[in-house]
Order: sequence, then C-alpha cells, then structure tokens
Amino acid sequence: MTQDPLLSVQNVTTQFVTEEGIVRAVDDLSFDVHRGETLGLVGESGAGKSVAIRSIMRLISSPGEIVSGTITYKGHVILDRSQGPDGEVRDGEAMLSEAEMRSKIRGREIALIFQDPMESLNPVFTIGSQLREFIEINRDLSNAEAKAEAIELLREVGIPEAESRYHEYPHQFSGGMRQRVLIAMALACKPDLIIADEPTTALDVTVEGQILDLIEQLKTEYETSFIWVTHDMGVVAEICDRVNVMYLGELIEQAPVDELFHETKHPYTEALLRSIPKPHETTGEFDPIRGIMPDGMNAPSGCRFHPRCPDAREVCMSVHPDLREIDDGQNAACLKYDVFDADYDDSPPLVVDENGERVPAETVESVGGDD
Amino acid sequence: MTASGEFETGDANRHSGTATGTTDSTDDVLLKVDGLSKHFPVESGLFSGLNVSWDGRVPSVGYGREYLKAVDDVSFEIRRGETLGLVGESGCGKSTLARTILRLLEPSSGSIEFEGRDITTLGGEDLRQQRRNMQMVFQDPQSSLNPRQKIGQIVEEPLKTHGLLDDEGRETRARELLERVGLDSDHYNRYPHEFSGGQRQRVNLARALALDPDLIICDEPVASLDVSIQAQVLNTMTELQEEFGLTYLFIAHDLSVIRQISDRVAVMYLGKIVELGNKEAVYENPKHPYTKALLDSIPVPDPRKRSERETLGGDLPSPVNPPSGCRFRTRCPELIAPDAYDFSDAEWAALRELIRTIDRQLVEPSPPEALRRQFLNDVDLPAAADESVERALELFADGEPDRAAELLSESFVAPSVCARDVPSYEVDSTNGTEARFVACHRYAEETPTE
Repeated sequence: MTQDPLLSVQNVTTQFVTEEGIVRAVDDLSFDVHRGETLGLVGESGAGKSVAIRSIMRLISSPGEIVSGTITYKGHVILDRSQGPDGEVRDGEAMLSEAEMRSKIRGREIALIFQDPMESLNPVFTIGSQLREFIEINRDLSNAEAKAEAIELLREVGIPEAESRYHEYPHQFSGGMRQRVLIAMALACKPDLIIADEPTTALDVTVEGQILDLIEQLKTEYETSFIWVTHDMGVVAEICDRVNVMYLGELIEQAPVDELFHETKHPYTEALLRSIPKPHETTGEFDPIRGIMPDGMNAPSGCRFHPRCPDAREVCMSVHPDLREIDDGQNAACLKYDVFDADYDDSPPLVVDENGERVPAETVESVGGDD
Repeated sequence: MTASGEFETGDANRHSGTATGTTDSTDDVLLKVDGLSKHFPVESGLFSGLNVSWDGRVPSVGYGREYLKAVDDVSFEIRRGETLGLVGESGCGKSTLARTILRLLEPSSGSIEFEGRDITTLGGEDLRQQRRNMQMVFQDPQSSLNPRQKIGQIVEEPLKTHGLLDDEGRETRARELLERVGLDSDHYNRYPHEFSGGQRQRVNLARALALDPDLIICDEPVASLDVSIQAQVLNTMTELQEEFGLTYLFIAHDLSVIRQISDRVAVMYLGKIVELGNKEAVYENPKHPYTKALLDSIPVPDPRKRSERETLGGDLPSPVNPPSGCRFRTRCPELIAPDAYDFSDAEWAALRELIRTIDRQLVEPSPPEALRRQFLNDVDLPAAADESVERALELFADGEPDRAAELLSESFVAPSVCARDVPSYEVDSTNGTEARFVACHRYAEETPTE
C-alpha cells in the first residue's frame, strides 16, 4: 500500500485527572488505517481501546483530556496538539474546530458503532424517525427523500419488511436487528471509515455470524475501511486485515492478521491467544494469563507487562520498550528482540512470588521452582 | 419412552463405564428433571386476556390468556460429580430453567427430583433446608454482591441464614473459603468495590460453597469476565469440583467454554432441549441441525480457517407462539420434504431456499420468471408443486408477500413431518456406547428398537 493512509494517528496521549492521580488511558498511540482495510484493535478491558477510538473522534470529555498527538484524515487535521514544558496544551492552527468536527467529520466521514444498540437508540422514537432525522441533518435531503433513503438502508442491512418496521420502536427489535439499524445509521452518509466498538460482543453467536457476513458484504460493496475494536480473537481472525494489540494504554504489537496468529511476537499476545478456550478441540484445561491487569494509576515500571510476563527478566523492570519493527510489517514492544539492544540475554530471569507476580529472584526466598 | 422429550441415559451407560469421564458412580443421579415446564402469562391485568378478532362482520370476542413458554417439557438428569453444560442463545430459556430447578420460580408442570426426593412441591422450612444443597452463582459479579457488606459478611450470610456455627466459627469458615477460591483470608474485611470482576466472582463462589452444597448451578459465571481472567476462574471451579465433590449445572452461551468444562452437554432452543449427550460426541459429531449450526457459526481463532464459518439465517421465533412440531423448523437447513410430493434432494433444497427467501422477504417484489431463474433454474418441480409455486410467485409479484409466504408454507411446510410432530429420539452415539437424545426427525430411523 503505497498511497497515503486514510487515517493517520501519531503519538496520541489521552489522560484522565482523578483525585488519586493521573491515568494515562492512551499513551503515545500511533497507527495508520489504509483505504478498504479492516484494522483490529484488540485488548482486555482496561487496555484503553475505547478511549483510543473516542480520541480519534475527539469525543473525550472532562476529566479526560487529549494532551498531545496528531491525527490526520484525508487531509483534514483532526488533532494537532502538543504539550508545552509548563504543561499547557497548544493546538495547531490547522486543527478542525469542534463545530467543524461535528459538521464535517463525525457521522459523515467517520461513523461510530457502539456495543450496546439499545443505549444508542432513543426508546421513545421509532426506528424510522431516528434514522430519517439523521439522514435529513447530515445529507440535506427533504423529509420524504430521507424517509425513502432510510427504508432503503434498512433493507440493505437485511431488515425484513423494512417499510412496516420503519414505524416500530427500538424495543420491538431484537438485539441483532438493533445492531443492524446502527449499521444502517453508520452507512447513511457513506463514510469512508467506520469505527466499531465491540459491535457484536453483546450478540449471540449465530446473530454475530449474520452481522459479520453483512459487514463483509458492505466492505466489498462500498470499500469502507473499518477499525474493529474487540477482545474476541475469533472475530479478529475472521474479519481483520491487520491488528493492533493494546495493553494498559499502549500498543504492544502491530501485525498483519496471519502473522499475529502464526508468528506471534509479543509475549502478551501469545498469552492472550493461549488463554482462549478452543471451540474445536477439547483441551481439558485453561491456560490463563497470570495475575490481573494493573490499573492505569499504578502502571508497572519498565515494560508494563513484566509482572505477568513468562519471558520477563530484570532488565524489563527498568527499560521501557517502544514499538519497533521486528519483522517485515510486524512491530512489537518487547526487549527480548535484538533490535532493542537491551542486554536482555544477560539479564537474570524474574521469578514468581506468592502473589503470582514476577519479581527479581533475590527478593523472594525459597521459590518453589515455578516454570 | 413417551414422545414428550423424556429420555434416559443411565441404562446404556452402565455398559460403557468410561464414556462420560465422570466419577465411577455414573448411575448415581443427583438431580432428575422430568417434563419440566415454566410458562409465564404474557400480560397481566383484568382485560389482558380479552381477544378481539375482526375477521367476520361482527367482531368476535374471546377470553384466553396467552402464555410465554420459556421452558417447555424439559427432561434430563445430572449425575453426582459431573458437570452438565447447558448451552443455548439468549432467550432460549436457560436461566428460567435454572431458576425453576432451584424453585426460585414455580414450575408450571413437571417434576424435579433431588437425590431421589421430589422437591417440586416442597414449601416452607423443607424447601429452605433443601436449598442448602443447591446453590447458585450468577452472571454479574457486580450486582450479585451487596456493595455495603464486607466480603466476610457476604460469605457468612448463608451460614447465618441457616443458623450454622457461632460468630467465631463463621469467620474461620469464611476465611478458609476465601483461601480455597484463590483469594486471601485478609480480604475478609474488604468491600466488593475493591475487587476486580474475576475476584468478585470468586467471592460468589465462596458464598456458594459456604453451606457445602452438592449442586451448584452456575448461570453464565464467566460471561462478563475478560478471557484471561475467565480461564483463571474456570480453572478454580474445576479444582473446587474435585476438592468438594461438586456437581455443576453450567449454563453458558459460549460453546468454547462449555466444551472445556463439561462432561455432558445439553443444547437448548426456544424452551426445549434439542440435543443431549456426551460432550465429545456432541461436539465432534453433532446430530441436531441446530447444534451443527451453532458450532459452525463460531468464528475460529485462526485467520487461515476463515472460510469455515457458516451462518444460520433467520430470527428466533416468539416463544409465545412457537412453531408447531419441531421448533427449529423455521430456520432449519435440513427441513424434511413433505411426503405428498416426490421431491429430489436438489429440488427440495432449491424450493426450501425460495420459501425462506419469500418468507423473510429478502428480495424485492419481482416478476415470477426472475425468481424462478434465481432459485429454480436447475430443477424441474413436480406439476402439482409447481402450480402452488407459480401462484405464490404471482402473489409475491403483486406486492402480497405475506400471502405468498402463507401459501408456500401451507403447501410445503405444513405437511412436513417437522411441522406435524414434536421430535424426540434416543439414538446411538458414534462416540462410545452411551445413548444420546436428539430432537430431530432426521434420526427417527436411528432409534434403537428395544
């Protein structure tokens, strides 16, 4: 892909100021989305996935704040912000205003689909009127034209009897059908990029299958790009072209989907893949990731994954790895690779303490030979 | 056996010995559910049962309440020490079944036996005592813990309710239980909000274990947890099962989880169990078309196997007016052809596709020839069938899709055995010798004759 990326996110940091301290929910995030591709954004809860996509739409509200970074989309500067030494944030001149974001970008150029379709639809208005209103506002069509367009869209996303269901209320739709309505709404302005935040997580597996088929069909029809946020590696394998893996606010691996599954580079990705219960074979036991995800307030020093990492060594406690290219098109943030030149090989391995966390050997007395 | 969905697995199992992978006492039935139903009246209120029909010249008024058949004639057994996985999509009645077994809901009909004792109509103190042996773990670890109680109080609550042990004894027991479920005994004095989702679910487990029950019914215990945490909790549950000799009824919609944790699996659809058997048999050789569809629709976590997923079309029908005969027939890709016409497989497959398309109105109204070309191009239907199809296509072209669908349904679906009879068969399993239950007419001939 030699052409310019559709969306380019560079060094975006978003933080939340709380009474107990500052949480960097998204820390120095950079990635590109190309035309027609589906980019997966993967991670467990608390990884910062949702904050990341809300930052792209500039939908972060107090106490959260995007403190730095640049985001460009088809020549529009969605974000150009830097933080001075005094801690004050400064915006670049070309950055779109809030009004421009609303009139040019959100919904028209980049659409968002949320996880819970019930929360995104107003229960006291009919499906049709909500869809029609959205089209009317964003596409300057007359009332009647917008209605015709709305019915057409409902039909397109596979809602049977679209004309009569146009007059029904959200509660009369099943979960899968509601999600289809939101997809219809996202498609209404023919955006080039759709960001989907766990859109199938709340759905049953057969309904999820129907939605994934629909997305596949729409992708070929409109060449829409997607950012697909999920924690389900099955869905990732199914629809994504490239994948970003997040852990505690940072990207720790970026890879084409096949490499991610078959030439996994980062120990966290590996552990995540191992922990999925396999639907098509009986393994008898589960292989969980040790420990729990630390909260963002007390992010571990060095590599943030080191307390849970089976490959962790002492150097991982002090040196923070950035994302570097390990293989062609595949980046990872792990000191065990030579490109980091961190003396990983000579560093003593960490051992597991009584809390299941990895610590230097000398701090634990008489360790019971774990791993 | 009767056609009511009753089946027994004990007999066949006695010869197999190893088929279930459960404890050696495979015949020791802990829980037996027989013909259990739970129906809810659809609306309440004085006039809710009134039905006014405007069909004739004078509207006819009737009175008769409609019922939502959340669980309908369900029978199964759970043996001591085993895990029975109950899987199905939302709205299939899994949770209602669990609550009815625990008598949190009153059964509409059928019976529940626990250790050979009928508990269907137990009440008052007897029921309270009985509940000591049956505990439940709920899906949402957040809302099932009182935020104002300390962890210790929460775990001690069941002991207090049943007046067991003194204050000191209860504290010792609670601290011990916390350690058993993978928490720290020092967590005794903390509040639920100080814990992560996975830890909260462990507190729920400790509370469920407090009374040393025989059976724990787990309703989606890990559905709200991250995958890495899910695995930790499931491992703990397996360990606890061995340690305390627990029997689990494990309810989940996640087929992958069910596969790893269960000994036997029951698949539920729209209030009924459609397949039940040894886990390996059900997963490796699913018999019921719904089980097959469920397994085929899971996205495989491997990008090299993308093409393997298949999609089940259509929506779940309303449990108020479930389809006659087999409840899955409206979506079933293996719907059996009616005997009246002598369809070849190809003819029936093409026609079935056309019926579904018109029923779900997946295409725009178009001239009959166009639809024929799209669906019936390669087949030559028998003349009698063709006549009905032509009439339906004309109706569809005239903008009467409902009548077209009705006509097709009357001509081809209604006469099918799938619409006429409720299926219930016991078939030989290909894995092992244990018999299994399949509610599908495709297996009518495989039923072993006794």
